[in-house]
Amino acid sequence: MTCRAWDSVAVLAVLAVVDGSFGVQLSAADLNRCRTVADVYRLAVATAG
Amino acid sequence: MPKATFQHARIAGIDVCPGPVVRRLEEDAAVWGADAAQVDKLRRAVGVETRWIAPPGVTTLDLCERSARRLLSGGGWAAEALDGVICVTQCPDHFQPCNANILHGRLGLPKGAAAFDVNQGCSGWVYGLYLGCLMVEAGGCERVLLVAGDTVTQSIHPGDRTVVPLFGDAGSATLIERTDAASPAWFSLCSDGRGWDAITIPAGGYRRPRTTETSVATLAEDGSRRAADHLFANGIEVFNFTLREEPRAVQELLAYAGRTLGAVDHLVFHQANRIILQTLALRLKVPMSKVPCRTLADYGNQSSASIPATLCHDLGEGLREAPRTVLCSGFGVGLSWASCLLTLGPLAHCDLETYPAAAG
Repeated sequence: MTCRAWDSVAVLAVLAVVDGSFGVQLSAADLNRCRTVADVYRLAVATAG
Repeated sequence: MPKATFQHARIAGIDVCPGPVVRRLEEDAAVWGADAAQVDKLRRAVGVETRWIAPPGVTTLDLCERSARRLLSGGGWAAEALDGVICVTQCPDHFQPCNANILHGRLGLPKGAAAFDVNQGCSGWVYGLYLGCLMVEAGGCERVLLVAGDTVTQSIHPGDRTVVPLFGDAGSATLIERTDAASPAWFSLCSDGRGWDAITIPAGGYRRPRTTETSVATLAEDGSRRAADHLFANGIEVFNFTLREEPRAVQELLAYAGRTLGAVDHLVFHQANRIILQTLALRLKVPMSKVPCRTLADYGNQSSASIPATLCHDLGEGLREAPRTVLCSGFGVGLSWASCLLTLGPLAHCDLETYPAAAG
């Protein structure tokens, strides 16, 4: 992601939302491969199984 | 996980001494040119409004000494009445000797008093409390002084935006004493050394001594600047570790103690950051009113001093007057986490006061 707002704080916020909504935690490696918000969503769904 | 119950050791008083220099969120943000929206995002996510830090020349030992003197004076305990002093820190004055030995001399403790350091960070106050209770319960000690604190900001590169707006410095002092009345306290201590590098200062020890090369800061992928001499924290790994281990540790300790969350007045977590505290509350299904976090906002993440700071700053007024059932839990560097469930109060002394600027 090259979005200016995408920083360490935004990452934590996304992790918190994913934890609260899907009950799963995303690894740093997987999250770093995401390029779009849709990627993050698909990753969360896939991780939740 | 190792668990233990103590019956006749209790906390009699607590004091905390944050560093003397205040840094406001806006000042930190201005250093890397953050706009108002970014400041607002930091405020909501990290949750630190002001950090109190120790300038060069003021060490963890100084903060802990001041805290210990105020505690002893405030509670009416003589240094001669102490049978031991434990110092929990990762920022000692020297590699040798340990801080506890130096503090033993500064406070004038008797030669018969034991003194040793424990190298732990955010979980360290609970580890130290466990050891202090153990020393009392075993019968050899009437009173043990636990000091815990760190000056983490002195190991942070000013250009590291992932940790600069988070940390404050503080020392604390907790007096543990023997009581004839039953005063049950339940503990659990845990670690996962496979995650040792999630929070680390890579250089400066015997494995990788400081050199010119380790002092050269480079630009990291996250846009922050730091050298091997500086603190590094992998925010994602720490977040995941906390959410993976902490809720389970809390529930297992409650089950071990035969209690429920409903019987707990306050859940005092290490003041890591606001998102972590909120997510922990959500996971445990407890309202934020049970999870104090004003200390985080007013003083920052104070490593091993953050739990006693929260007890004094958020809950001090109540703890001076009446007993409260409190679950304390620290987690972080190591990786390491530790929890205790105990009845606290009324405390003879429970206070927080910053280190005087003139003394620095």
